[in-house]
Amino acid sequence: MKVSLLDNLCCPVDKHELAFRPFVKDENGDIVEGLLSCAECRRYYPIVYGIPIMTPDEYREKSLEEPILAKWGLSLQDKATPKLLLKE
Amino acid sequence: MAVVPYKGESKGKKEQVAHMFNNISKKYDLLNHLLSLGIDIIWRKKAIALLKKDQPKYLLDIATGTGDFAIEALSLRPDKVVGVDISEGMLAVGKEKIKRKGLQDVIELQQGDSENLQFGDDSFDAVIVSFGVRNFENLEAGLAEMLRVLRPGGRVVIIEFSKPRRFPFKQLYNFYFQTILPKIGKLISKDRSAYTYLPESVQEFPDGDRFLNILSDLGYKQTRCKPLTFGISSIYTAIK
Repeated sequence: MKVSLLDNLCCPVDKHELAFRPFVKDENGDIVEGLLSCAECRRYYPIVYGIPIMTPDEYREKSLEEPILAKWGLSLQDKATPKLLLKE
Repeated sequence: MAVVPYKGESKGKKEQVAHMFNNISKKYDLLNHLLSLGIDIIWRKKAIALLKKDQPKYLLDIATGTGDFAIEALSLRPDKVVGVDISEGMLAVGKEKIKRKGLQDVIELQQGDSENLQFGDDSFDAVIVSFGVRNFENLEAGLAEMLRVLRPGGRVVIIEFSKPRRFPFKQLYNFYFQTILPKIGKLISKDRSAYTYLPESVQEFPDGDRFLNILSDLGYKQTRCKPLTFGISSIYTAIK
């Protein structure tokens, strides 16, 4: 994913701005892995294999995302809530 | 009751549609061209040609799937086409295809929900959807999101199946769509439900003037419908 595309992205749920943390870039400087998070609702959206996963809670599978988050040194906040929030 | 791919399942239509496309993604391109006898390629070309005058630089392809419509849109020489789909299976196939064709600098794929788009207002010069709006769980919500992310004066181009109304096309079509197509689909894709869902969802879809009325009610202007190939499909256009 090109860095320039970040400007256009917002939280799909509440349309607020997203904060970005890069983890892996390729030789062209394109984002391979990274994390977007909403300052308002605090939901997170991972970028994996260069594809940002911007679907709302009900289309996400926590069990698939946990190993990726763990690789980045992050973990899910609460397993009971349907929202995808990170442990602070 | 809404037409869904897997009857008797408690999940919503969108989740089921995502699941269905994850199941059929590997064979999807082959089946598409086979079942439509290759006409889908001509339909896509015709739809994209309607944007030639506008020369859009920044396009959004909703329900991009494996990226065929996004790739077709490159004939407009845009700066960027962003393709969004809810199914990671379809996107994975699309990503490989785009990489193989060396198009990764101009086409970007993102996972997202067409009824909750991840883009700011007025972001795109054009929004295109090929055979996607029929799968929206809430048609109005999805079309309203497309209008929101479209810039004022920007154009939407939508291709969707429609129902032929004249003899003998109506009768021939019903026979092919309801009898032949589900058999071939099942044989190749192994997803029994996917290709019975197709004719059922087409039957249910508000095509022609009904669709144009929905667009107008949402605030789209200059709404037009262009039937293709005896009315099997239609191209709808409108501007913001």
